[in-house]
Amino acid sequence: MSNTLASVQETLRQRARTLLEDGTITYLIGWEAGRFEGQTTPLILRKAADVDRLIYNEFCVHILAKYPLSDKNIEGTIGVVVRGCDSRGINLALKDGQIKRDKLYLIGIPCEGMKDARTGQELKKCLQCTHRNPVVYDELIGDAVEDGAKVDRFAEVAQLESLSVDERYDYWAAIFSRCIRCKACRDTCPSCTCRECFTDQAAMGWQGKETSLAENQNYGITRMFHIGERCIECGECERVCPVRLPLMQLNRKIIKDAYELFGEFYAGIDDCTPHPLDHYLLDDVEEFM
Amino acid sequence: MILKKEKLGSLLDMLAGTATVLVPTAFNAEGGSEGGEKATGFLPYQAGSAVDLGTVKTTRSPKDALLPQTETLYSYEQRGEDVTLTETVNNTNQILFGVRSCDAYSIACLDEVFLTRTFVDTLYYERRLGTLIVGLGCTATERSCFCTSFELDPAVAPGVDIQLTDAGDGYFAEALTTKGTEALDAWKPFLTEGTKPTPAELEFTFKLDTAKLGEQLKTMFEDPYWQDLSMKCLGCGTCAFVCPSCYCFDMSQNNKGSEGYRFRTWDSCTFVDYSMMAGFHNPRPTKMKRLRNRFMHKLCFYQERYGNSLCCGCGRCIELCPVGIDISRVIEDVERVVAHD
Repeated sequence: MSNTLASVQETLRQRARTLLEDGTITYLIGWEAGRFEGQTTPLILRKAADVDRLIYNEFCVHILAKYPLSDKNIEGTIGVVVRGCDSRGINLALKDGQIKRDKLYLIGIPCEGMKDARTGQELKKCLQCTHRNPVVYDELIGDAVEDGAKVDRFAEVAQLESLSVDERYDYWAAIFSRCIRCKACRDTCPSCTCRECFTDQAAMGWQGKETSLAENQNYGITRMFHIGERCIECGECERVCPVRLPLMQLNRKIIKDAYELFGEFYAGIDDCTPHPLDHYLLDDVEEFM
Repeated sequence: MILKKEKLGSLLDMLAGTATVLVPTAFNAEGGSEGGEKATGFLPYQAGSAVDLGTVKTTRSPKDALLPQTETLYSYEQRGEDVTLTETVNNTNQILFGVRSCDAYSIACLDEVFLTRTFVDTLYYERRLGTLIVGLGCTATERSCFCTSFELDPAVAPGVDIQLTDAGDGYFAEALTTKGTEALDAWKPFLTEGTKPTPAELEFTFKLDTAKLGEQLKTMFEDPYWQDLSMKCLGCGTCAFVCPSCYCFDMSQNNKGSEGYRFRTWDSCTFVDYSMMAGFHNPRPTKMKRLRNRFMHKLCFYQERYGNSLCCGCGRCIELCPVGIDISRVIEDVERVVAHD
């Protein structure tokens, strides 16, 4: 079976129709076309009759992993189209006990990378993707593709590490001075699943509402540490940022440090392996104690 | 009178000596995280600034100039039994240069909110009074531009003091207010004689019928349409923060010992804590209720109070919504949903 996008879309529509008609799923989370060429938007497909709205092309840039979490007490089953990134997000949610596996029906699609409709170029997050094939699914459409990042995903971090402390401070100060605190990075992040985010706990005052460099940095750094090595590297935080901040450089720094201290680790490739920082071993590095 | 494009730099140099000149500029000239993708906004002009009058819509609107994202309201200090309150006074003296019709219309909306109907917001009033607005007629459109759907004229920005119209190698400058006439006097050394060109015929990707929109929306408050639309909403504040006319704000304070200051910040009706009340009651506890309110306010409630739409058709939220929620499609859907009911 060939993996042309058109054939994948055709099969996906057929399967969606069947699954909705036979009651396997209550609705399917996929994508539909936007107004403009190459523009797509997530779709909640409820009726088999609307199945032609469902699309799959090289511009399906949004991660879908977080959507089922807003309906975790559903009586039926949520169908979700998953690629590598989506499936890792789902695994993370399963591991965290955010949703039960039997509430989900996962249609996997091996993904060769998505493109920015404006530039026609493959997205940076996709070039840096290590797991293109879904790591959890109920059925798979298309043949497996070759896994592995197309670029060195730690190159930017290595470059930043070569700078002096002052240079690094200036670099991040310039970036966070542009943050508008829309919180889109948090809201799209499959690792951010707290029922109540620290930034919204106004009475506690963890996070002030001023858009000042200090508050913006507090937001960015605290978020980075909260996610830690749980980042599934979907790169959505960077894609959604309206002012184009290179936020993945922060997450990758943590991942790189975690690799160096605890060995190679990929969050969300299954729903059971403990994460480096959610348990301890007697021979753990503890250079600060 | 014509301002030759080669004189633009000298004019801005001169103006920058008299006021803060906010002009469309790329604020990450090196490109963004995806490489080459620039974000633009109205930044203070300095000699050598990368002025960008060609970009149809800046990433960040000029709203900040009149309603900053963070603004101190007053500061306080207690010493023994004495309490000192220090009010903020805005001695604004700024020129907003190159404002398009959509953004000028939005400023007119802010004026209605902050300056009319019994309450005058002092801080806004001071900024507004100290601001000269120079409009710039559009010679091109972007795919998501739909200002004509709200009866805006992309060639003439409503309420501006001076209007610029592209005339090939220059801009035709005309004063539209008394303030503009006085200001234009100082521009004379940089102007040459010339006649007003006919504004460019612009092509828009789409135009919507918005005549009955407010009335139609009133009938579909309880429609299940909002449920599926809001399911894909992330609940972030991108739409409100890039919107030139969203004006909601929240107030907080930073307190250190016996002194501190109270300030306001932009807020977004899509945020969970936006409608949180004392005692932690939230009248809009779901994403559906929050997103519905956003569209109802933009396209219905504001109109009920002020007579016009709070959407100017700039399309920024369409371009920047992380999940592609498109207000222009919502407007089309309203027609369809109401027809089916």
